[in-house]
Amino acid sequence: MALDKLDFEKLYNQYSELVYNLALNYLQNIEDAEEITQDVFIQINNSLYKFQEKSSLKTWIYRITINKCLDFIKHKNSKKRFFIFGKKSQNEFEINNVSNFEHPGIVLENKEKSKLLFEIINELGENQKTAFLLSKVYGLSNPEISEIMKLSISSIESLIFRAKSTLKEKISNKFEEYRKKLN
Amino acid sequence: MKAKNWTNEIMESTNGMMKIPPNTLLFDKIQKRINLKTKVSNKWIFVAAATFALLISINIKLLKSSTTKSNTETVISTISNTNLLY
Repeated sequence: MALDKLDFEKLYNQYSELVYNLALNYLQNIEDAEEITQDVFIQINNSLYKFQEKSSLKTWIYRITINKCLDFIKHKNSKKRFFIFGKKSQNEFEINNVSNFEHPGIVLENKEKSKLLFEIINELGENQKTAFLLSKVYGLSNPEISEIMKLSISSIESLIFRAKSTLKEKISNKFEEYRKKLN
Repeated sequence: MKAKNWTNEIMESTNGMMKIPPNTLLFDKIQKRINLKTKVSNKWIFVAAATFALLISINIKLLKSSTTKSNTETVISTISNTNLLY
């Protein structure tokens, strides 16, 4: 059973910014984030009747968005692998353009630094990446993140701690490259 | 020291990030996709129903033809029994 148009529009107005920005932080590409936003609201429209109020609607929407982003990344990676085995000349363009960094929310002067940060964030494991993004970029509290990710608060604390350590280590390893570029 | 400062700068580079509203046309696109999906699903329901009906009618026809075939076979066998050369 789908929602009627008016209710759906209300829901969209209330949560579209949240979904879009979360997808943008996850995928760092405007087109991809728009695609995810469309997919998320289609799923909401089709399965809102299944929503049991065990968690808040907002938490449920966060979960759908994160799952859609993870599926999207998996699909993209499998495509990449396929292209690597396929004809290179035709698909080179597609490989190189899979993840163009486009994040309109970032201040222009920080763009290069953020690009590097997101490159390293993208190398983190799924859970570490999700916990870090929700905590650092979205400013959610650990209990809120634990509800969204269905993990204990201590697990979330550990995920964020490990994510931060890995990021710091990988960034400092890049410092030499950065210094060479400057000279 | 420089490395540490640089690392911190990178780590803090997402500070002051702004929330961006999605494209104003996105809602219409979603509506279109929802409507399209309903149309497609109706079409597929019809195709599935038609296939199912066709399958059942073929089965019935086959069953009927096999019973008539067995009847003819018994008739043939009785004829051939009575037409023995000796």
